[in-house]
Amino acid sequence: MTAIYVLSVRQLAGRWRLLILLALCAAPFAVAAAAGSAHPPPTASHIDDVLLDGLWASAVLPIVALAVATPAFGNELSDKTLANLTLTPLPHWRIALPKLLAAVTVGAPALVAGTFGSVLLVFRLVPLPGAGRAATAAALAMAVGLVLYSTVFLWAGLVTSHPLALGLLYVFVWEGLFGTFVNGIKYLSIRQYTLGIVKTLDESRFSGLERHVLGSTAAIAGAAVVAAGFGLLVLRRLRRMDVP
Amino acid sequence: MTEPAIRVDAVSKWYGSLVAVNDVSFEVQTGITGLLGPNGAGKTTLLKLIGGAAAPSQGSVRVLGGDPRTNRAVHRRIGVMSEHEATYDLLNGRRLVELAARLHEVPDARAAARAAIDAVDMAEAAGRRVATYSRGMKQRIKLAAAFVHDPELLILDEPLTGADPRHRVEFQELLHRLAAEGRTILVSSHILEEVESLASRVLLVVSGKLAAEGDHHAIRAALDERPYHVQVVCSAPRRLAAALVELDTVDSVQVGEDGDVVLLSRNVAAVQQSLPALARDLSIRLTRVEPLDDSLESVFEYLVER
Repeated sequence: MTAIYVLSVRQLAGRWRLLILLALCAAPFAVAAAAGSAHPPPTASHIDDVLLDGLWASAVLPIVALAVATPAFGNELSDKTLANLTLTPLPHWRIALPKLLAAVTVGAPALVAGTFGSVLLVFRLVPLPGAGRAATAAALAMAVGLVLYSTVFLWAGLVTSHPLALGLLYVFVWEGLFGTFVNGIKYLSIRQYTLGIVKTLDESRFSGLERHVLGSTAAIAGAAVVAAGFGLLVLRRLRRMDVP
Repeated sequence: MTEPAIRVDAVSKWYGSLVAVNDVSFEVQTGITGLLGPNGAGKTTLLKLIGGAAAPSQGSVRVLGGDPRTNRAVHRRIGVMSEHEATYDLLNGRRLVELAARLHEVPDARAAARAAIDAVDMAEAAGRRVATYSRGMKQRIKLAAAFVHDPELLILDEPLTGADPRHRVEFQELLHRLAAEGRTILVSSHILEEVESLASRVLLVVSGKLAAEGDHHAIRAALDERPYHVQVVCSAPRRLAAALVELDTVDSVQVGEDGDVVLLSRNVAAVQQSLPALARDLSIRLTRVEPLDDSLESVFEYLVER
C-alpha cells in the first residue's frame, strides 16, 4: 500500500499543480485582508457567508479536490498504466485507499493552512471573538470536505474520460445553481455537509444563516454516506472495469 | 491429466458493435507459445482476457486453475508485459522494477529487482529515469518488471518491438531459459519469423478468430499451400500468358486491361525460376515481375478464408 501511496503522491505533486493549489489557497487571504480592514467592519455572519461559504466551501475546496483527485486514477487510465496496479494480487481497496490518501496529502496542506490562516486573519483584523476556534473549525471541516469530494472525484476519474467536466457540473450546476434554488438539494451536497461540519465544530458560526446550513446529524450522516457509498463505487468499478 | 496453464473456452469479446474476439478456444501448456496475427487481429484483447484486464463477453478463461478476473491471488503467479510504451516515466528503471516487486508482495523487492534488471542487461541504465530510455530499453525494463516476482506464467504483448538485433537475440535466450525452468510463456507478435524463433507452438489469430494452431512447421506448411498472385509486365502479354498457362506450376493466368499479366501460383519459387527462360525463348522483354499479395495480412486472410 505504501508503494502505491508514494508513487501517487509523486504523480500528483507536480510543480505546476502545487503552484496552482498554492495560488488558489492564497487568494482568500486578499479577501480576508480587505474585509478585515473595511469600514464599517463586516459582521461574523458576513464573514461566514462570503469567506467560508462563498469562497472556501463553494469554490476553492471543490477546485482543489478536482485538481488532486480526478487525475489520481484518470491519468493512469489515459496513459494506460493502470494495469500495473490492477494486475497484481493486491485487493482493490489497497489500490483505492492509497490513491485517496495521496490526493488528500497533496491537497490538504494548502487548503487547511489557507482556511485556518484566512479565517484567523479576518477575525483578528475586525476584531471578532473566538478567532482560534472559528479558524480551527473551518480548517477541519475543509479537510473533511476534501476527503468527501476526493472520493467522488476518484470515482469520476474511473468512470469517464472527462472527470473534470463531470466534477465541474456537479460543483457549479448541481451544488451552485440548483442548490441555490432548490432547498432540498442541501441534503445531497458535499458543500452543505462541509458547512454543517463547520457549525458542528463551532456553534457560533452561521448563526445568522441558520436556514442554509445543515444540522450536525444530517451533515455527519450525509458525509458518512458519501464517503462509504462512493468508496464502494470505486471498488466496484475497479472490480468490473476493463483496464486499457 | 495436468490442468493447462491457460484454458480459453468459447471466448468472445465485443465492444459495442465491434467484435474483437470471436468464439475462440485453446489451451496453453508449459513452454513458449506464440500468438501470431496481423495488427488489429485481436491478439492484445486475447492477452487482456487471459491476464484478467478485461472480462469476456461470452465464454470463460481459466489461468493456473483460477479466474484471473476474480481470483486476486492468481496474479502473484502471473507476469504481464503490455504493448503500451507508457510506464511510470517519473521513476528510474530500478525503482520501476522494485515497484512491480512490491506490488506483487515479493519479500526482498530490492534483491529481486536487481536480479531481474541484470537478466535483461539494464544494470548500467537502471539509475536513469525511464523517460530518458529508448523504446527498446523501455521494453527491457518492462520485461524485468513483468518477471521480477518469478511468475509461473508470463504474458508478453509484442515484447520485441523496438529491440535492437543484439537484444533481440538476448531476449530470445532469456525467454528460452525461463521456459526451460518450467514456466509458461505466451508471447504475441505480428511477425512470423519472430514467433518461429521463439515458440515451439503457435496460435494464429486473424480477425478475432483462431485461424490455425500447432507447431510452427504446421503453420509454415499452411502458409506454403497458399496461392500467390504475381504481376508480370512485358512486351508481349498475350503470348506470355499463353505460354504460362501451359506450366504445371501456374494455376491460372489473366491479361489485364493495362496489358499486364497476372498469374496465380502455389509455387512462386518455381515460377520465378522458369519465367526468365520462358521469356528468353519467346523473345519477350520482361519489364517488371512483382508479387501482388505478399503482405502478412493477405497471408493471414487466406488462412482464415480457407
